[in-house]
Amino acid sequence: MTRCRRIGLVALLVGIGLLVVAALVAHGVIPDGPGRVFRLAVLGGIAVLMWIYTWFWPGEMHDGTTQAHARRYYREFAPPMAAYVVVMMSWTRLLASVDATWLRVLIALLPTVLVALVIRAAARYVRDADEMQRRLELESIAIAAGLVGGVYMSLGFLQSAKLIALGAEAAMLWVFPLLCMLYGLVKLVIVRRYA
Amino acid sequence: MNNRVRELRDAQGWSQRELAERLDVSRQTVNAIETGKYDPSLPLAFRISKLFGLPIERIFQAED
Repeated sequence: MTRCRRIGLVALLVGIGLLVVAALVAHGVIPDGPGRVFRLAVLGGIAVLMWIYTWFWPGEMHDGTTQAHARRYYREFAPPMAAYVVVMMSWTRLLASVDATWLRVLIALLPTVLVALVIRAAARYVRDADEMQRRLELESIAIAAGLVGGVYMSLGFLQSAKLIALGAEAAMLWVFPLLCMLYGLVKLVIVRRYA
Repeated sequence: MNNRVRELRDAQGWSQRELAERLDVSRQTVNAIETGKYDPSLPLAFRISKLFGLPIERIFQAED
């Protein structure tokens, strides 16, 4: 079994664990908190997606990059991503603890600054990748962007027809995560064409 | 497009990873070129040609 698949299996076990805990919270076996079920379900879903991504990836994931290139990417990607996770764990409490509008704006936009740094790392990764990898990345991002646009347009039509009622906050917050998730899945399909 | 990249690499005794390092591309890209799933750009084809010391047309041939 490749190292990639071993990591995938760990992600699957973590994902199943988180989804089970989410189900137990939803059924009142474990005490609920604000948004706890949703957060657990999202984290569990992300872990399961990671399993799909690593399990069906042809060969090893580092085969798609050079060592120096990958090292630079992780160096630029990991700190803002880790900071983003830390900020998001305390973001709601932090926001509730201040009254001044300017400070609330700053705290509200803090995750965006960190995400901008993550996007910068990804953009530099794509820019300096070799020509075939750049083609794979750009094709995946383009198709994922098209799919996100299609999903949102469909939801917009359903909402206009009063068949669903999505909150604007949830809809706006999920654009980027949905793009990232679909990009990963699309890339998985595209990369298999060249394997 | 057909190519002799695998044959030339084998003759040098290099692994795909070693060739990838010499060309500054990923191993996946070398594999895709060797299996004919990806045709390299002209600059990369020239780098391959220079590395093996052969003219491009001796490495890459158009399919009939």
